Amino acid sequence: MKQHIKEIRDPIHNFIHVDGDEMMLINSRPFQRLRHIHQLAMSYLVYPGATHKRFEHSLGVMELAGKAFDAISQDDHLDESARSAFPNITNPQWKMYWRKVLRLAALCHDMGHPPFSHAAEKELFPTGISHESLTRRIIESDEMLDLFKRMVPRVQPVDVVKLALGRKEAKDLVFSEEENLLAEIITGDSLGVDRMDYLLRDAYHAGVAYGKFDHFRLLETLRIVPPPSEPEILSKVQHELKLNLPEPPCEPSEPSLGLLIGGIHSSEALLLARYFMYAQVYFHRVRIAYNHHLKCFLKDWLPGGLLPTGVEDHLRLTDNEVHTAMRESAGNKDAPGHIHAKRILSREHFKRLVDFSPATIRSESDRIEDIYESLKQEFGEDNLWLHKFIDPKDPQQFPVRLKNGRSESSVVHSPVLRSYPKLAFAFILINPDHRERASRFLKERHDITP
Amino acid sequence: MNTTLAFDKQAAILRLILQLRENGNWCGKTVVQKAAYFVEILSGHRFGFDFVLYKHGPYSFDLADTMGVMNSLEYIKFEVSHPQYGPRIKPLDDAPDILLKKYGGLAEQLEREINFVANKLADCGIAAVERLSTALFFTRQEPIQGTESRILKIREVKPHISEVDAANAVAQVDKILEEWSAISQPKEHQAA
Repeated sequence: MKQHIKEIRDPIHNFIHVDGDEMMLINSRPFQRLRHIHQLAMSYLVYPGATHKRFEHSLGVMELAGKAFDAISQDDHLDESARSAFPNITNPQWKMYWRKVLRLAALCHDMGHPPFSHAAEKELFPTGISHESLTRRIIESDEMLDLFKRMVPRVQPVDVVKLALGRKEAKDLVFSEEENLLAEIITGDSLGVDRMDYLLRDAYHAGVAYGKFDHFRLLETLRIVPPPSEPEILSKVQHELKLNLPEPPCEPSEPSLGLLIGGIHSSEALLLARYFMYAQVYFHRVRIAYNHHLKCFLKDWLPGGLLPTGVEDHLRLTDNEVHTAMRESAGNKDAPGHIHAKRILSREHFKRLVDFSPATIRSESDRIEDIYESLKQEFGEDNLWLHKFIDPKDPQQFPVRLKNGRSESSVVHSPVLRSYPKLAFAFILINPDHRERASRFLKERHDITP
Repeated sequence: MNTTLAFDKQAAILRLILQLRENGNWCGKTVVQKAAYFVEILSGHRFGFDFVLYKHGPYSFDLADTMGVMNSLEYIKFEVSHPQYGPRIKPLDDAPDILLKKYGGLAEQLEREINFVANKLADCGIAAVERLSTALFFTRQEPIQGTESRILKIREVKPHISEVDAANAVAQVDKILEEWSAISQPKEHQAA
């Protein structure tokens, strides 16, 4: 049965197309809650335009997921390796059902986010709980089960869980090869549409140009591509001289999400967008300072210092409730979280004391910890925050299909992807009242000029 | 703190990469993942990575993240040696000094397993390690035992692997486990 398609205006994708079942999910309580969860936590205190919410991001991910599905599953886009590894992909019934599940999963993928998204989740969820596990609880809740039951065709919640979370976050579930592939459309490190949408959207709202890339071209050129070959054993001479390598073997191996060679420049732009957004927006020192104060406020304000993990309690808690509490606490010295609420609302946030270079992070990791310890002893733990991030992802490698049908690694073909800059940050923030004295301390004790 | 920063694990991965390369393996990311799975199993899970059945067989997301961190910190890099092949993982010259000297305890504890696995998988590319590691996965998974049931299971999850290749992989894994069992027994036990 053909469903009526509605269009929703969107600044990134112009129109987001929604069918009746999707609209039913959009109108549900867990999805509507996302209207009140800021995508970039308190980044709006640094970039005033960054007030966008998880709601529109999730709609955007759905729109892109549908397009990605169409690109990879179109009959004349499938080569022999794809047909052999994913035998169901040419079956029209299968395609209809899984396209639907993929788009629903895209809608659901962020439902478990606590207030202000990632800002405080690591420290404030009890051990073993994450926004992904809460997303799963919501998808499997009675309220959502009832929705999925009413859809045509009826949707299995476990299928939505698999594609929304991916293999990494749903380790207890058994994934078919097709399910792994489809989950990668949403969650993939290199070509996942979640990343595509948030980079475009965050850049747009933050008012920076860094996040832009040609996502139209990227989606058009998405394909299922086998991995590049690796040769059999090499002799030492071959190793040293890199000569006389045999022709790559043509053994069948599992294909995955990749690109036609024509999309390689768009993928370079995507990766550079990621790099710039991390360096300029996501790890902006003032944004990180606000995240720190928010986390400390929540620790004091939340019952037991932890975020709720029950579905009902989770759904009741949004940025609005936290913001209201923060305003109350800021004006009342005796209220829990007063100091940090005041710091946020009066803009008396911690400031940067010292940045460590990637070279220091690489070879003197212990020294950074020692410096932080000595500062804590001198100025008190509550006046300092060490923030470290070393990029664990390796998003520049994916298979690329050449015009002659062979597959190659993206980094073999692209010098830009090959030299993708590394992301490693470590810096110490400090209560501004102590900054001058701490700078002198660093110079005298550690010979560091901040 | 990011748990993938665990420097002792990074050092052990580095040791595995060095050994694979020393034995002549091309040493792409996939081979390191599958070799690490063999080390994990043979060492009785002392490596400390969680594996699930995923891309090309058993796969650890934590291990992938740890290798990502090693790449970001430039302990390893992806080297393009030949246009027709995937990139190789190459340790940076000073990485052993930084990692193995300071944090080499786990690498030392796993030395026998690492050397054995690097030797056994030396001549494997992606397709071969995919078959072998998937065969090992089902060999270790209760209650799927017996040659036939393991072959069926491999074919079920990896339809592109032929029956003959699956059977060969199962036989090869049995042989590897047998050899490991023989050399890993305490000496007095072997003599008895």
